[in-house]
Amino acid sequence: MIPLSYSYRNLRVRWKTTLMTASAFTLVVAALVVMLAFIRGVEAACAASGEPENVLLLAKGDNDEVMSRLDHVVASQAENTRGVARDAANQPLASRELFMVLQHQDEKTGSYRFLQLRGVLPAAFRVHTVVHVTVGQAFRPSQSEVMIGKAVQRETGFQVGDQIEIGRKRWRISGVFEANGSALESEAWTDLNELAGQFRREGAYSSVVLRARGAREAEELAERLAHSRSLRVEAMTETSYYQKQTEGAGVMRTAAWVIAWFMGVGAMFGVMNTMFAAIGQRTKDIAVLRIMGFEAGHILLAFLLEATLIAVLGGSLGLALGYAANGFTQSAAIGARQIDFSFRIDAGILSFAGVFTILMGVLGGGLPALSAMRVKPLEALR
Amino acid sequence: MNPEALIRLENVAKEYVRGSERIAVLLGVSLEIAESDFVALIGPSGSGKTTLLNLIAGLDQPSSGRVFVGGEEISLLDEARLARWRTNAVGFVFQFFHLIPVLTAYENVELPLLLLKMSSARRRQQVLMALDLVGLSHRLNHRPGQMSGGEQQRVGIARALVTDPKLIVADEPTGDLDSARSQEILDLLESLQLGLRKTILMVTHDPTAAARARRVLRIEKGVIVEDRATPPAVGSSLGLRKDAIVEELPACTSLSSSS
Amino acid sequence: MHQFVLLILKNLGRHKLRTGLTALAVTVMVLLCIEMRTILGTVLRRVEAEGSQSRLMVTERWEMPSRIPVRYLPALARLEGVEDWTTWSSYPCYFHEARQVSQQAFGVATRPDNLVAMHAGLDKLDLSTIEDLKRQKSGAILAADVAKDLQCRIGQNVTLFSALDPLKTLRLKVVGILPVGEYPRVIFFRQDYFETATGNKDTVDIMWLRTRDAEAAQHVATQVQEYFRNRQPELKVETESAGVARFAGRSQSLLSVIRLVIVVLLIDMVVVLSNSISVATRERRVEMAVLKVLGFEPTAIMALVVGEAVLIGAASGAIGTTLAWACSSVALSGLLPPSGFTRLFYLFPIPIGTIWWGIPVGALVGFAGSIIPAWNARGIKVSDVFAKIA
Repeated sequence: MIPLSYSYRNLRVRWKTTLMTASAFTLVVAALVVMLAFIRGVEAACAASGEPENVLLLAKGDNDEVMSRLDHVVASQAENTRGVARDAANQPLASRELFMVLQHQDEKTGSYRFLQLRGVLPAAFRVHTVVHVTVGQAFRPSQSEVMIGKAVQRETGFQVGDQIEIGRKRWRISGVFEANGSALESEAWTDLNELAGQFRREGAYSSVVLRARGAREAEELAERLAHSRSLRVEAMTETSYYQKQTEGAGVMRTAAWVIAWFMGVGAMFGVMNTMFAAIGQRTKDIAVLRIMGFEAGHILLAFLLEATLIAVLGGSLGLALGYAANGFTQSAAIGARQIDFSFRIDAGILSFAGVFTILMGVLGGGLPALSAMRVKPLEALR
Repeated sequence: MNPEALIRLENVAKEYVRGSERIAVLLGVSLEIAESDFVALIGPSGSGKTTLLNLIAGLDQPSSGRVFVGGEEISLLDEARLARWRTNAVGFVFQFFHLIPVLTAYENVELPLLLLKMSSARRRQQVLMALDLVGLSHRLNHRPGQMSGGEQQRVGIARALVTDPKLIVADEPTGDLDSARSQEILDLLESLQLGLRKTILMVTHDPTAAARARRVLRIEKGVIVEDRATPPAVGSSLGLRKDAIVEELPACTSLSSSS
Repeated sequence: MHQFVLLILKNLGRHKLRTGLTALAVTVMVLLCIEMRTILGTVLRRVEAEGSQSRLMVTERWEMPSRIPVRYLPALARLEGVEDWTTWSSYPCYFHEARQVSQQAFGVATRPDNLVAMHAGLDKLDLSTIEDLKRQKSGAILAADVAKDLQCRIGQNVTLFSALDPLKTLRLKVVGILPVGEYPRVIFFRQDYFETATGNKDTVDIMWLRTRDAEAAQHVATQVQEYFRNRQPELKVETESAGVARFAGRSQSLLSVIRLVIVVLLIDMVVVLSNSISVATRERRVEMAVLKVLGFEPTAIMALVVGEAVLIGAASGAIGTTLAWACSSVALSGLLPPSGFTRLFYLFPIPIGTIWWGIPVGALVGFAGSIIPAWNARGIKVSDVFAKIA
């Protein structure tokens, strides 16, 4: 009931102090937003990965493609299981794949970098329907050609036509592909048989990916294969495979909030100090208001509002600053693989940060506002 | 018992407890103040005059005795109810003006009205009238820092008037002003009493200020030692806006009938 | 000088609430800052570990995980400049059947006799532990945090469940525990036991070579390239430092976030202190004007303000670092059951030396925060002595 202009103008008059106090909030909120955006981005990258119609098969006991080994017999049996969709020529939509993580040496600097290389057959394109070549062409079998995902290009700077050394031979980059922002964009694809021959892995696959007619059929297929007695494999839908990779995200989010509150302590105490000082200087104002008839509750609200305004001022700047990170692309190690993700700031993060800011303002301003409430009009004017 | 008495005190006493000591500030004061009177309360420092003022204005409660203002026994009211009562019943004028520095003259005067249920149009009306009465319509949007001491005090008086209270309580209203300004303020107070029939209770240690009142109460050591009526001083000008007051009399009656 | 400090202390004591709040805020932030710094430092420490330029990591050229045929080992060991060598065979595992994330460990099969010599950071390990390992074929040395999570002691048996092959379970007997903070999550055991238990006799994952210095290391590296140029599988050689950096590089973004948090905390501390001191200085404007009238020079006034800020900063810093170290000690003391809290400090223990950092860092933060208010105080006009009490 005490006009908003009272709280607002007092902040304006002491604008240097107001700005300084608010800046603490700016920093904290910006850092919080960046941290949450990081986690959200990682989650989004994993969520974008994996098509719900696909079922991933790995060797029994393995939950990672790198260590898994399946042979020809298992692959055939899996492909002919009931539930696997078929194409126009009645061939099963199944992709036999050899996934390897190789150490590629940068020719200019001599340092080693991880290269995720997947050997596939033409069927792969019918199973991983999100993959589209955007620059150049797909690799040709037995031609020592490799096509790289968008994220690989971002990280390495390879261009179509470049030659890279893999296992003794020089391979040519035939094209760049996109895959809907999924983990596949962090891979390079080539001919399965040529790759297997190069590294003496003929007849061994790391995984087989089966495509079902729909998401529900895929889940059923995965269930059936996982519990099959004749076929000993690990089976899961692609989407659940990638979801498992983000199990750590929950822990990271808790850590981020803990850190944010610790950082927030500084801002809270800052606003507490500022408000205590302001109230100390304005006890006469408060006394006069009380004499006029404003009640203790009005005083409390007015000062609480002032503190919250400082927090909101700083917090809004922090949100704007943190937002600058939106879309910034980095690569992170998720599970055993390296995936590109973008810092992602959505409405949820903005609202959480907003509520956090207001809460900090209220908590920081609470004690001082309470003390303002207790100013005795007569004593203050003496 | 005087039926026209606005204020009545029956054997009012007040003592403070400081540690283990009990300090008696007022000792069994009984008095009546008539409506529309202009009373000055004088006495040395520590005599209890400010305490007496506070009790009458509803800022404090007596240790014993009863206080009636406008027929209501305010010594029975609790703090919250006293606050609400004060808004409508009493207007305050302070020695150091005590305007809110970040608010304009208009906003300062408007403050008490925010406690009452009133449309913003009505509020505007009241504020403009009050400021006009004290002759500061041209300073509506100025802040206290941009005004002289005399102007600030006049804003203070406008603020005291805006809810149309019956009682105006002034604590050393001229204490911080030079003699010329003091005269202006005293003229204004006098015109409020005569023109608007306000009851004015003024604490002062300045004898020239006391001379302007109609009745002077002298208090010493918690007891009223003197109580005399004073005739109006010769040649006092009845406020800068005497004409305005006479002209606005019909409008002012609407001011007084609004509460 | 005495009286100067006394004056500062008295000033701080005048408004205990404000001083207290400020100190509290800075302490909390220092606490977090130290924790983050320790995490960062622990990760970076491996890269710069002693000897990391003269120890070489030999791995298969292309594939991850690397597999080096056992038949290569003798030739490598005999290379000119190689003073000592050992191998690693990795065994990612769980120490409980439930296979929870918190029960993960990284088993490493290696040579027992030169364990200390070939691995940085193990010099605090008891010699008798090595003797026990040499005597006990199925002996194992656990990392401190694993031992804490398992709540097991020397002499107890432990079973490890392979993360990759459910058939390859290892039964080991604990003969020692690594110093806290070294090789977290790692369990060392003997190569020969590993071969017998898993049947894997053909390959090892990594071979480590120790040379005299960086130059000798370069010489050995060149020999390896030459010797294995036309053999299949190929090998590659890196210094330990480069190899570790490469693995650490995978968490680059996370480390950057931690760095960001540290910077924010430091700036936050400066802002809070600056704010607090500004408020205090503004309240004492008249006093400072009086001091000037009495003859104090502007620099002396500045010194008062700076002194206050530095004192609060240093004190809060000291308390913060002491608290951090205390938490770490409690977590490592064995008094608490295993939890996220203990796990944090087992991974990133805070050494007692950290406490000494609190004072200079806090003082510096205080100094930085006092710049603006001190400059303002310097400019207080002598005429302010007659400031009207509003």
